[in-house]
Amino acid sequence: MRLKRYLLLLLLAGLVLSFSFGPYAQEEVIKIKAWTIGPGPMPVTRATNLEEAVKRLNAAGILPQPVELEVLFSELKWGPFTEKFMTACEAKEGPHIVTLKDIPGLSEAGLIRPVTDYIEKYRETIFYDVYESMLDAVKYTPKAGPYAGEEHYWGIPQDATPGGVWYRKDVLRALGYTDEEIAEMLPSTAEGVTCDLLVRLAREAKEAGLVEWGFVHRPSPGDPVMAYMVIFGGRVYDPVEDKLVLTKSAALKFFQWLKKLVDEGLLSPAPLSWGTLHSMFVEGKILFTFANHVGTPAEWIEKYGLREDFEVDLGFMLFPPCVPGAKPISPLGPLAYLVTQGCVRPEEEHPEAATLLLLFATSADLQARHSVQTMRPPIKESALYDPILVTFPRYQYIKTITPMVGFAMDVPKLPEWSLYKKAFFEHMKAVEAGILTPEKAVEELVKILRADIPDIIIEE
Amino acid sequence: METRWKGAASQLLLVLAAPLRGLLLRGKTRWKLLPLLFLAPTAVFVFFFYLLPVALTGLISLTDMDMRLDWHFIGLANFVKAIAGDPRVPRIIMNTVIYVVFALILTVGLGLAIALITTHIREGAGIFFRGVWLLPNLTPPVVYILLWQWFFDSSRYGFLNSFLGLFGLPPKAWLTHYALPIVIPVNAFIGLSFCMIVFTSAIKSLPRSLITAAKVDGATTWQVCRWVIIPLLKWPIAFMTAWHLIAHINSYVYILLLTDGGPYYRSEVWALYTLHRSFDFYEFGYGAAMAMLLVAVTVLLTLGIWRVFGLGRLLEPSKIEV
Amino acid sequence: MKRKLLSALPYIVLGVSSLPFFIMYSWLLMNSFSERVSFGFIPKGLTLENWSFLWAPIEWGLERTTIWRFLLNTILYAGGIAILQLVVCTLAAYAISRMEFRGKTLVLGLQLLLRAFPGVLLLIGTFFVLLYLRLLYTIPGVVLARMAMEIPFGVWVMKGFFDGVPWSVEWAALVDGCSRFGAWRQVVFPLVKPGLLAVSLFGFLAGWEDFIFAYILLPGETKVLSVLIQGLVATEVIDYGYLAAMSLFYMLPALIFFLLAQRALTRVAIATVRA
Repeated sequence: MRLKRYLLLLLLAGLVLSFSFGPYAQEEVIKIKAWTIGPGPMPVTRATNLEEAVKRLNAAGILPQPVELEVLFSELKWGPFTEKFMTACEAKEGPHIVTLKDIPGLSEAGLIRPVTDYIEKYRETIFYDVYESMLDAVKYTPKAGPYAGEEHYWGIPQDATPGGVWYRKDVLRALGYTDEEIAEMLPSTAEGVTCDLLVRLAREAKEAGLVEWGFVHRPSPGDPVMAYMVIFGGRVYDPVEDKLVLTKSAALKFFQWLKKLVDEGLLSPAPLSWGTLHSMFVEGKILFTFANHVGTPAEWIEKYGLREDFEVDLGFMLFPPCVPGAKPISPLGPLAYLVTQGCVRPEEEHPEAATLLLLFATSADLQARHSVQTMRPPIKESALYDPILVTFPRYQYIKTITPMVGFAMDVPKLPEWSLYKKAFFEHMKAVEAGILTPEKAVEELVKILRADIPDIIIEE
Repeated sequence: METRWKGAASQLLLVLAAPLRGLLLRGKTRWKLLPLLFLAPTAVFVFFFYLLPVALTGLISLTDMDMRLDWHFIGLANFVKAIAGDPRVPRIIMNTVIYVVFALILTVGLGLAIALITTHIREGAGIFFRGVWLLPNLTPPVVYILLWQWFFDSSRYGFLNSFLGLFGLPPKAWLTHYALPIVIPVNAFIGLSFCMIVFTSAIKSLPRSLITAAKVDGATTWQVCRWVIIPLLKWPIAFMTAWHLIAHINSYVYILLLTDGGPYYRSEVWALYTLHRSFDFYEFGYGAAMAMLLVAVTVLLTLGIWRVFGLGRLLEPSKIEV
Repeated sequence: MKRKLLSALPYIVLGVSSLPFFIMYSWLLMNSFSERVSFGFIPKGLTLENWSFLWAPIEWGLERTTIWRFLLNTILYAGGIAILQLVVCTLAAYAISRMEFRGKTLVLGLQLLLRAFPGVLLLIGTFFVLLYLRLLYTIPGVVLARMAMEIPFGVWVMKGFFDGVPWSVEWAALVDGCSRFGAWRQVVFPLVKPGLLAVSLFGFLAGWEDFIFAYILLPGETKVLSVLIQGLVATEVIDYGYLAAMSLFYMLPALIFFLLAQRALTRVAIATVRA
């Protein structure tokens, strides 16, 4: 009798204990949230690649529990998306993975965590063929925050949009140049090309009445500002002092060049709006555009009716040097998956699972898929041999532009860079509109930069 | 003066406690607290969603808060920078003054004119035209601006330029050379629809007897408008002026989308600049300081208008004893 | 002859001044049927494809959904704000207009002053308030926050309408034995209907066009029409035909609300004449 009672008690105790251990037992699944952004619907593979990667991660069985992924793909602009991210992190309702560009700001705010260990560990296996420029783009030494003073890799590279000059081959052909001559004059690496050549060609096209404008540039401030300075022999950043720089002579030469173009009717005195810009270029009414990147044709084909085999009519090259001694250059526009920190409640943090997921997303075939979808170069060379890309009709094009990822320039990773870009761009507009002379524009620019960025270096 | 403030403060407290007291007290005392009951919801919302955020913004203006969203107090440094340290500020202030004055005239003046005209023509036509003038308000800002950009596009294809092209005139870069003069009506039309609706409603609630009486006395429509209707609309006009003065000082969305303050700060107004500094560069502290300065100016102007228009006279003592 | 010209004058004036709007919105309409952006009035490639969202599902991020879900959400959001704002403002305005209490000037003046604080610049502050009130990422939270911005305007407008109700009428009703509430319902309410409609229209429009509050203060990619439109203009390469069609669709419900409200206002005016 007593034995039975004791056994019953033991059983009951066992049951109770097993239930009470429930919350302390390991989670059934690891829940990961990822927030990705286009902007716009085209780069949706950023998100679908993650979905594919989580399947592979679970199949590999590296982690004790399966990973459940919740992916969000936003089609909005960077601004609202970034605000949403920041406020969500503050409320601890953020994601584990996010695609944002401002590594300096985020790392100093302590909102992302370094992935140096993973990159080092898998350098030979996963990152051996990722372009060094992409890895450099995610390297940064924060000046504040929890990792101040340490150089780290801050994200897993995802894609790049090298910018440069697009031009209309059909216009040049109409001027009498053969395809061979065009390829010789304007190689994609912009070797041997000078700005004078571009101006000459634009003049010819304008005189023949074939184009409305010879040149256009972006209607908004952007990283190409650095390209403009560099191709005119200047620089924007001093790596030794870690400060922004304005080379007055380069700025002056650039502004004078702009004014000359406007006076000759080759450049519009007011920046064209994006809609006008795109539709006019696709219709062949603009010869050279400084406003787009290698992936833009995908959008042109979809929304502006550009022909699928666009390489027949369009050519692309890096920004050419405009003064002797300058080098051709391309703004890289890199984007990386970032692993967040402090954006979720402490018990929901899963940095290891998140990072491993990203490593799986950095495989050759997933990169190839992204490349096919967006017409952007894969950041991994081995993706070029993947059957998805090889069988892609535009494979030759992708093959040509992929090496450009290696030509990228180091955009300054300082928060004041956006102030610099904006001020520079405003003065560009002023020169084009005839509000300021090139000399006055440089003067005013120096004044404003000094006010906004107290420790900027102004050199002649 | 002091007693008035004390009284007001105690009133606010009572308002917040009103629902409770309304339940507890009975009879005559309850009726005395009726106004407080009526004001309670407003007070609650205003406190939580207006006063608190404003106070927080005020606190933020004393910090150097940026993307980190942490509170690091630096005193009045932001304010000093905004007033003295920024070479763009004088231009921006001038732009803001010009913009506000002219946009206000358009908003209230043209709004009144349209309200008057559309209430004197056939009802159907009146509604139609009011609907057309309401369109700017109904259109999402991006699209509204796209329409204006097309209208003023600097290339040959913009509407205005292609219209001029019909007469052989060359295309002009309208938004470059006339940035501020274009930005003014584009914005004014938004506020205009509000004025139009309020004035129309007010005109329609006027006792017909007055107008009929004037007409019987031999007044023309124009005279009726000038001497009967407009004076009776004195209050809505005054209020709309005050309201839209404040609205225009704070407006930036359409300018942002149309010219982004360009070219070269020629159409940059204070509110837009505040936005630029806050959200483009994540300088929340500096942005908050600029916002507080704007608010201070607006408050002063509002107090001024209150005096000038004698808005206090609108508060007649209650006709029915509570 | 002169009389005819004079009576046609208001129509001419209105027509000419409204011309830019006719032009611009016709262009918008034309573009919504055009395959590619056309700068003139003739569509480049007539097509109904831009309007396909009316019958086909649309892609939003990684989801497939329909436009009607967006429409429903937007109507609920805007409608909620309109109703809530109407109730709160009417109560406050009635108190200010009809009742005697100290600090009246302060309360009224405060409402006007509050307009000086633009909503968007208060976003961060509002975010913190909702966070501490535990109303963040909830629909009631956003509606309350956005509605609060419209209170000052509503209070002022309604107060004006209450002031316009003749004393004689209300007094007569009370003398006839109506309670204060009965007087309000029978007499005052019908006379301030234009004001109620105006205020609810503005509240509705405020909610209808709101983007930033609905996006930042709600979880996920909020499915309201203003967010959808933002998504269409996010890239540099905009699909103008699709944008045009979507914008017209977006404007339509608000326009319908306005037209209905205007009709109601007309009926009220007629009633006043008879009284």
